[in-house]
Amino acid sequence: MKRNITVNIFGSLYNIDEDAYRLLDAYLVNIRDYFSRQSDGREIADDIEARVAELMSEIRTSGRDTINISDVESIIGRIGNPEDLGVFEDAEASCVADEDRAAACTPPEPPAELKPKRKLFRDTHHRVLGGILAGMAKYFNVNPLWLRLAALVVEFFFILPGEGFFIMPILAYVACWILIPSASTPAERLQMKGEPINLASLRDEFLKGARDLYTTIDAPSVRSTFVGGISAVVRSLGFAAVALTVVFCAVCLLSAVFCVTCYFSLPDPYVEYFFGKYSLINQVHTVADPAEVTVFAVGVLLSLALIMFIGIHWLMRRSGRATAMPGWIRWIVILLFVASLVLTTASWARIVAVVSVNHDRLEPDYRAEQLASEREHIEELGAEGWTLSKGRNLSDGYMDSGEHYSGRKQLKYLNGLNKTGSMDYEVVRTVRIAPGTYELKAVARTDGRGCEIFAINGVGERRYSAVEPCGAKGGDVWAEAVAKVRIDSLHTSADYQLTKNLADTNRGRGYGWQRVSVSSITVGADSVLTYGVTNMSPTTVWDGTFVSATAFELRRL
Amino acid sequence: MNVDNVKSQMRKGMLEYCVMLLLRKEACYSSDIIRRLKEAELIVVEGTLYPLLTRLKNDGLLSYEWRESTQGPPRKYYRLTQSGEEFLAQLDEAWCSLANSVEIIKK
Repeated sequence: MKRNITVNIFGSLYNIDEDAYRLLDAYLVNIRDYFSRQSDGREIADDIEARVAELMSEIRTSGRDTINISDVESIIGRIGNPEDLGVFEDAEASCVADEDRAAACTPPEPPAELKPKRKLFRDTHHRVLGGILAGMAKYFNVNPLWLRLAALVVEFFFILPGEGFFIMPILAYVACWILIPSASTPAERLQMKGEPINLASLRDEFLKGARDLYTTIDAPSVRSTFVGGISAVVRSLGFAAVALTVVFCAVCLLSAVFCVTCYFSLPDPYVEYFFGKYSLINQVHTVADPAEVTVFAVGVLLSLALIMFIGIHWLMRRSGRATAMPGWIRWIVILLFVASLVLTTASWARIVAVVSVNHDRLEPDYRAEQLASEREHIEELGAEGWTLSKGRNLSDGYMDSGEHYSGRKQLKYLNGLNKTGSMDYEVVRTVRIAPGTYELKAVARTDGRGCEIFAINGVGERRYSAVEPCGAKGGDVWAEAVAKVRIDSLHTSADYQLTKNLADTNRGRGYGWQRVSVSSITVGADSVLTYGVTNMSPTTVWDGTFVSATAFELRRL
Repeated sequence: MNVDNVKSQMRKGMLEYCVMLLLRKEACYSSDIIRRLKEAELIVVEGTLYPLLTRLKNDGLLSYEWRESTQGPPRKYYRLTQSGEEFLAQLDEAWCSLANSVEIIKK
């Protein structure tokens, strides 16, 4: 019993035996692959396929329903194997002596009695992961075990320096996986082994493939399921993942080009100025050997560019806009990629060694500088009578100036800031005043909930008023000023200019300052009162990024 | 020196000329050309013709049009272009002088 398939060639349907179909398919794939190296190869392959269809329709006209394997063999015999066509085409090309075409043609094949040239494929029948080393072993005609051991040794040397270099050979492997096609047809498997492609060998290889398949079915292994799972995922993610990688690499490449340009063209002091004295880039700039940095930069740019090239070519091949790379280009790409990875890794390892020594040397200076600036900030607060009672994760000191609600730029205000918002900020001032009932007024702004102006008396009674989140625009202080300026059209009031400044501040949008007042504060016989601003409300969790407050004013009621 | 090799080289040199000769009288489609070439024992495998036709077409010596066929897929009918005719005339001359030379040598 034989399975029977219906195929559609150029709009006509033909019944064909399964084995005959496999052979025909292998033949046509082989033809396409062979001519794909020529600019007009697709047209030629289409013509040949049309001829196949025509010969098949002749068989059908002769009264037979189904094409069998001997029909296919005779069709292939009539049209000829790529080998026969190839030798012919080369001789023709040299007769024509058209330089362009001669360049586009493949180099002359060796005489028929020699074995044809091997081609590099991934040997998926003997793979551990992607079959790259198995394919290379076929190409170089060695035992794949040696290549696998060598690969482990190489990986070991990349693990040694630490710093994530172990990823490099893995990246190279993945790139090869994408770059090197798998030997999926019998014809490709023959090319991989460097055996001539003709009817007999194709048929043998085809039958062998079927035998391998049965062996796998009889004795399925855990590994093949595992690897099969991986490759199924890779295939399904395939296009999107590669496209994303290409975009990612493009972004990286652009920023790398920018960095490299800055790095090599900026005069010395600017690198320190832009990136900070203790930044990695400045340290590299000051202590690393410029030649090594150059090698590293070239390596990084080259690797990124090659990954993009490989990715784009793969995408174009998948979408049918490009044909397989000629073998020599493929080899150059692989060699360049491996070379750039090795250069990058080696130069980076040396740069890191030099820089880490320098880093250790600079560590005390850095600490001292941090402490000095911390002291400076605390002193700044102290000068105004404030104390930092709680502070954690604050980005930029504790006070600021320039966005003051009054429109007078030099006035300072309390300010706590952290862009990611996970900060603690509480600044207080303790005063001794006559006993009585007081009202505390202040001007504050914030962009999150949990910010309060508060006062605590000598016996621990806490009174507070939450600051409405309004961000760094608008605010009632600004709105009042705008209204006032509008009413005072004759500019008669004494503080007109100040009000006008305030209305115009932040290009007429205000800075978000709002009036806050805390009333009914009782100061007892101990005359002690502590007041201030916090983002650590006992009742509300902080969810903003900054807190500002100023113009505290106590009024006895 | 392999006799078959030399023979096939000679045939290859002539093939372009013969294909154009076939197309001089009327437009033909590739299977017609193949049949005629086979009758004249000029080609062994059919596949060799397709790269050659494509090349002549790309060089502007041939052009083709699609015609529907009653059986099988539509067919490409090739014909000589103006420059093809001129080219063929030159080949004619070359062939005559070549045949002449061979005749002279043979005597």
